[in-house]
Amino acid sequence: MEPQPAWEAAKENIQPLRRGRNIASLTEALQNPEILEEKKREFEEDLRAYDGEDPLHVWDSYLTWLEEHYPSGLHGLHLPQLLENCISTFIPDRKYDNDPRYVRVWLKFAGLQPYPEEVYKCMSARGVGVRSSAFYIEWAEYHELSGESRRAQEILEKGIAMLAEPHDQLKTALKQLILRIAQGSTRNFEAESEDAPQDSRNALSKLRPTGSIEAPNVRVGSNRLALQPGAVQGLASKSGLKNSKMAIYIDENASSGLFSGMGSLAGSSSTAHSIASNKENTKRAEKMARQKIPQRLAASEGPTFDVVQDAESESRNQNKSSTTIVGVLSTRKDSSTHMSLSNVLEGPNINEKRMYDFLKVYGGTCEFQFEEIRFAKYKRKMAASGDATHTTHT
Amino acid sequence: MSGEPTQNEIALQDCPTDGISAVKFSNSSNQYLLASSWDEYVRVYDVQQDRCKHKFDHTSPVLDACFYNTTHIWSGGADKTVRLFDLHSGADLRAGTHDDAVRCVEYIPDVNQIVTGSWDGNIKLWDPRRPVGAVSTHAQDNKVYTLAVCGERLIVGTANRKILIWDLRNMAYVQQKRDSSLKFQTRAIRAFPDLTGYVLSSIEGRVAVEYLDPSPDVQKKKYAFKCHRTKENGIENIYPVNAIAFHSKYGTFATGGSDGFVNIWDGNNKKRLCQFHKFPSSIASLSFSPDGSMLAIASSFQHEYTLDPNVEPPPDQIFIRHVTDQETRPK
Repeated sequence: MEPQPAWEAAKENIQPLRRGRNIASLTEALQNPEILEEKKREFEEDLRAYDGEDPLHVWDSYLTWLEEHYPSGLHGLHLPQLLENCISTFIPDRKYDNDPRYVRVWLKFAGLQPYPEEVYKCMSARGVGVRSSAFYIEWAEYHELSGESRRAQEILEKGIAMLAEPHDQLKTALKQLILRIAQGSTRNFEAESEDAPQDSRNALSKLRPTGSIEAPNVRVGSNRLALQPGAVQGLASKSGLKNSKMAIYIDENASSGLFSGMGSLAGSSSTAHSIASNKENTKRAEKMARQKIPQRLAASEGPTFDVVQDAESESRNQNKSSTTIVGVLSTRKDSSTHMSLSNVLEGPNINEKRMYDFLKVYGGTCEFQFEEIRFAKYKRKMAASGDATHTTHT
Repeated sequence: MSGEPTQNEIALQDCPTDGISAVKFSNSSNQYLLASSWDEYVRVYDVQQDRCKHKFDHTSPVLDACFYNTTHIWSGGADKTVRLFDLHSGADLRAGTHDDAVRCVEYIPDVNQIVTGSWDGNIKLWDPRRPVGAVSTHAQDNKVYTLAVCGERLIVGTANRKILIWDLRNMAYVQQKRDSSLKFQTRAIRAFPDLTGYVLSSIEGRVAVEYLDPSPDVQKKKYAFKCHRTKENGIENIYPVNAIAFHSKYGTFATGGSDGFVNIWDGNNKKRLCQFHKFPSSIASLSFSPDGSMLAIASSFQHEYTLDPNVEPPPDQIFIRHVTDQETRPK
């Protein structure tokens, strides 16, 4: 009997990647976890010490490496924070605005947000990715999945008008979208009954083309292009028709999980969602300084003495408490998206300026001291000059 | 209060040629001062004669050093080694190593040991009379960034804003583990001369005064304040606070920031006693002489930010300032 490969034993802990997994790095990650720490430290040093022409390259290879070498997902690594740091690092550098790698980082970040549209709008406003087809396709996909096919179409058309590259990809995407609208097969709020077969595995349905050369082989969710002919599909649509009179409960959380699933890389949709929505609990505290939090009127209004209770007053109290809750929820929505974007775009406070390189200290997945940053640079300089003297001697 | 460099201040000759990591006075003599530097040397100055008496090659950037007695110096380097130098014979000895760069080196008079802390996340204790390998190693969970000796206790500041308080009489477990009360990375910690607490500074213009006694009554007294910030056109510039030094007689302390200023504070009365003039570069390290009559000030760029390659940082300098009672005594 052949020996079992390492990944075979761990496969339920390996999260799929959109572009597939590299078997060599997967085996490496599973067999030598101690090497990983060393390599990670090297990457962290590179992030801070690199002073060549293309600093984004370091970030890009680090993010790719992290995905490949942490097969069970990047839960402990504060991925949204890392992506955000990457975004902030290159925001002043306009030359990266339409670099496909940078756009990918933004799109990954958007995918981890509960309300990715905020991020897409921000990208569009800043001009990040406006010449990249991938941006429009992902944005349109988000709207299509939310049931706004017209809006999706508008976005693709906008991309074509902006001459985004590669042009063909965008044109194909638009053509296919129009086809789907014509067939009425896009997910619509009016046609919720089609939701049932949405996540089931269809044998013969068409696949959506992705940016990469390899098409996905899983025929579910956003990968599936349309409810095209096929034995399984025919059955599903029939049952859909039968059930069309029945109201189907749509779980809001489940649908938002879908959004994050499409853009997220390794994190499962549910964790990605929870990371993003818990962001307010992990973000640095000083960011609160400029935020206005609505006063909770009802919370402090409790009477200090005993009140004779009657049915009417009880119902009034309940009303109050329910409004409080509504207020809290709307604040949370605000802070999880808008706050994080303001983190990205501005400093801690307009009237304050940090007189040290904040992103070098906190840039990666762990913090560095000034001396560590300096020594990382020193090591690289020594290595470079060592090579130079070596070559001059020989 | 402040002003230009004055007669009561001298800049030492023959200064380190690269970043100064620490300046420390001898434990018992006002005459000797050591300076460790990124230029890979540890220098010993005779501050009364204003000259560099000894210069030892550590063969790697030196991140910290300390006097054991008037004739022996211990140093820790980026090359992970802990070394000691004999001022009389000029001999140097490799006492041992850490698994990563050695960030802190301090002498603990109460137990006559040397303590070192490293980015490998450990502290090690060494016997200066038998300098072959460490006596013991104690894990701190995170990279050690700073440490302070407080009588028979050690206060260790690590990455992720953790503060660990160890009792040297029983190193089997950590006595107290706290989160820093400051929101940003811990930069320096120094203990009160009366051993009841410590002062902690962060990279974001803030200093905290804390007490060791965990009882709520004592803990109530702790506080933090903003400092080393300058206002420019309505924008507040926030600098790291790199150095703290206590005056052993009065219990007041000096702080030095990347803004180039040195402030002297009266921690008990929550008052600033004075501010010196602006020094040419970031204040990297501070040390009071044992009798409290002098303050050594290392002015040296900390590489807090990436410098434009065409701009030379200000030269690294060490100033010896004769301080007056008016500047250091609580009012």
